[in-house]
Amino acid sequence: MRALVRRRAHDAELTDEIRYHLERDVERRIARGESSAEAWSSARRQFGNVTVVAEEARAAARVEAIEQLIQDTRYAARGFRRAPRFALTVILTIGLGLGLVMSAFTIFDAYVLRLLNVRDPRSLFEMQMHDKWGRERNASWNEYQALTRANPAFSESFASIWIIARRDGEPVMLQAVTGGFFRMLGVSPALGRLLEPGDASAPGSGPVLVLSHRAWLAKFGGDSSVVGKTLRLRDRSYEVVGVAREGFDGLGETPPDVWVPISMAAALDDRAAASGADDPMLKIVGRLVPGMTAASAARALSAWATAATADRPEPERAATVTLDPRATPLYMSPVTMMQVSPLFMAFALVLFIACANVANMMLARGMARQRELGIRLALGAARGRLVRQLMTEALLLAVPAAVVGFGLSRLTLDVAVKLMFATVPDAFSSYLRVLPLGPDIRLFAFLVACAVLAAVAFGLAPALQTTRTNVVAATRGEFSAAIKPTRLRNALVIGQVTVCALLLITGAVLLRGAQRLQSLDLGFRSAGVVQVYPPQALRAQVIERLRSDPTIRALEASSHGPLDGRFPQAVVTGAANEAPTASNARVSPGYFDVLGIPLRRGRTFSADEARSRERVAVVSEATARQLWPDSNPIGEVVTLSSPYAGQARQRTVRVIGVVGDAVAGFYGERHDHPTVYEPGSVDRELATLVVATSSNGPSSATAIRRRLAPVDPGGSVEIHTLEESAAVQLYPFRAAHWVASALGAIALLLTITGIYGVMAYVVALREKEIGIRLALGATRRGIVGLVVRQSVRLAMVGVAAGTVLALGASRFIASHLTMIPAFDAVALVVGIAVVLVAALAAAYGPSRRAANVDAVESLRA
Amino acid sequence: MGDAKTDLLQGTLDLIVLRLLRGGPANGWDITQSIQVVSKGALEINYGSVYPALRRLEAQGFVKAEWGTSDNNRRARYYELTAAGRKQLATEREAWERFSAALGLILDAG
Repeated sequence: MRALVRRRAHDAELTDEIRYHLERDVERRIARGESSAEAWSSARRQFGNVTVVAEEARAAARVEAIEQLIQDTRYAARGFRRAPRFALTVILTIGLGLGLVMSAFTIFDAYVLRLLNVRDPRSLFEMQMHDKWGRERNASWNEYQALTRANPAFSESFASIWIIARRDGEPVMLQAVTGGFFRMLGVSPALGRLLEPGDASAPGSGPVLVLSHRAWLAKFGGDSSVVGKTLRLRDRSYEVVGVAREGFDGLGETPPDVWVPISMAAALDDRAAASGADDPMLKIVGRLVPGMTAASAARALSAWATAATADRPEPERAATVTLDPRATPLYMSPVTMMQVSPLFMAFALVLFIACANVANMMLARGMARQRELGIRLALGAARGRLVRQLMTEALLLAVPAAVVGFGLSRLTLDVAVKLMFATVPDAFSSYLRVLPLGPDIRLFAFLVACAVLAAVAFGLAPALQTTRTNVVAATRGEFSAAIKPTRLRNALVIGQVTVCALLLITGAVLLRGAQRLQSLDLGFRSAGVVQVYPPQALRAQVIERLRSDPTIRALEASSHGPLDGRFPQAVVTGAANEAPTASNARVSPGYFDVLGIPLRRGRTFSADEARSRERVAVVSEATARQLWPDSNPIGEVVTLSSPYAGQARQRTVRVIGVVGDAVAGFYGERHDHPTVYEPGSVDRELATLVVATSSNGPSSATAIRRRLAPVDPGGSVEIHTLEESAAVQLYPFRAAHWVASALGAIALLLTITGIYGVMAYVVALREKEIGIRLALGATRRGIVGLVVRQSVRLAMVGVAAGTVLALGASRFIASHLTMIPAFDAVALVVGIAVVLVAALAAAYGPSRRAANVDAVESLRA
Repeated sequence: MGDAKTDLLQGTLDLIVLRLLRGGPANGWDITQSIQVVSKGALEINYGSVYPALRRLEAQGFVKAEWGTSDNNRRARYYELTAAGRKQLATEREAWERFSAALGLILDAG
């Protein structure tokens, strides 16, 4: 780009030059008596063809630049051939850094930057309605119909429901869509046909499905005769009418396995079955009318939504509509991107350390070539030309480094995905769907940009430093005089140590947080408990099978699983103190017993109270402490209401018991958050069964699955142990800490080799000085001390800076994750200690060599 | 007047320009006039061919260019020899002498 601009400037200059020449010539001819016209034509003739001249002049500069580049490259290559170890070390070091950065960017690109493979993705938006408290609200079938008839903003749209059904004990991700889905997105079939409006003509009609390309390969082995085969889902058969083309993965970050017509939603999902044409079930995605902006469309749709939902009960009415772009699998607003950027910073920092390492190596090499550079400068070579040549060398190394980096990133991602599937608890690994992380143009462009930046980072400063010769001194043969690279060298080492300390300390903070979470007292027993989620149709049979199983010690139920996500909240009024909100769930009487939550006061529900949903409640200790600090809560009466529904669903309950504190659905919840339990019965509609078994571990889940097989041949009941739920909640956190630790370890390794290299170089450089000192009576231990002290001094500065940065990073993390304290002294101390020890270890080798310098030999050299 | 003449002169034209610039900075027009004057009109070239030569020498770092004011108060681009250019001039001059000596030997032999 800059070359283009420069070229245009040069062209203009050339035109001016030539014009000046012609004007002078013409002036002289006119002075000699020619007419104006004659003067111009003869001047032009003498000049020669102006266009040809201009082109030749342009070409001359261009050709020369290319020739110089070829010359530089050949010279650089020759130099590296003579020092292959140096070149290899640089290539591997930078390749490592580039590989890490590329891995992170590939993930980011696949989810956030890559445009979806559909028609005109930039015009697609998901329409999300919000109620007056900002909560998300779906649309009902009737509302969607009204929208399609008179849409103020979309030229076309489709509605969908996301369903997870189970088949043979594995989840199947389904998207139930309206008829125009595939046509609107411009997707073509790989086999057979895709869904059409006719398939969804009436509820319950059209038991057909379309397979995604991946599901077709994974579940049917790419069998080309799959069209016409049937798939059994939840007691119904669905005919496979086609396979979608390769590369179409739906519109979100989880690729569906199967698409069915929306008319089949009720057959596949209990909630859909229980809802009617007025119940909000649908997500709507539409294509903006060309020329309309998203902002004005959102405004128009908000007005429409307010009017359309006016018939709903007051709390459920829509107040606003937001439009989320659906051009990429995962939409990140610029604000979100900024919040996420520190994660990528960590990878970039490792690349920085690698560049600092190499910069020091280039500096050392430049010092060794001082004689050659000095001579060339003395002979009149322009400094800019020399710097350009040194930069060509850096770029020549950056190219194979980029290749290495690319290969490394593919390998890393491959291993990472496999590791993820291997370490996620078994019950949940089949839920994982990863978008393809394949290479594309953007990735290569990013790689090239990073490689060039890296080359500048590790090549420019050393190039500038080593060409700063005092020419007079050089002509006199004194080449080392004026150059003082010590400051740059020290700065690079300090920079490396700073980043290393930052990464290690932050990694330690995350590690301790993960450990703390893992050893957190849940307040209930997770071993030996299995959760069973039967679909409505099979519920009674499942309960009967489980009750008759001798290995099952108890069967209870709750409205929300103990670790299935945060419990819904209720507002509690009427107690001695006010509590903001309390977690609220319905549980069967024996629930506390099964989970080992101790009863502190009073009693649990009776079977009658459970059956009749008596207005009683059991509270947790924290609730009792906060609401009735000075009195016995048994017998007290409070009112529970939903924070959103207001008067509706308000109920007054009497406290009959107090149980121990327990985590209410989510690890991150504060332990002393109040919880109120209300009675429910296993035989009624409490969603989750909680089962105590006499055995432990995931085999207990398989045993139950086998037990239920007679009533559930299709494997549609979800079963997993409570321990697996716990592990899955902790998983992202542990994964984050593994990555941080890995980065920290790589950073440490690079920093150690960096310090080692620098110290070794300095010792070699100052051999003579060391020899003199020894000759003058210094002890060998004193020499060792000298070298080690220098290393430690640099390390201390780096550690200090790194600690400050790490404190900032910890504060940032703490503000996002509740379990991490902003100041973790242990992590800090350990991190600092590791870095200092590393610096000492790195200086050890060179200091030994310094101690073994032969004074006489070094003075003679 | 034609391709033959310009081809012959490309390498030697660079040498001529370098030599003429030894006397001090000059613009393209000045150089073409110097060529006329110093060679006493014997050398006839297309004036325009000086400009590619100047650009080439500039790219090689033997001359550097700056915009300045001419003697008739107009803007013109002035070229000046660099240290590298001076060295190059000496080298090329030497090479030319050796070449013409060798050529002379061959032509005069037998």
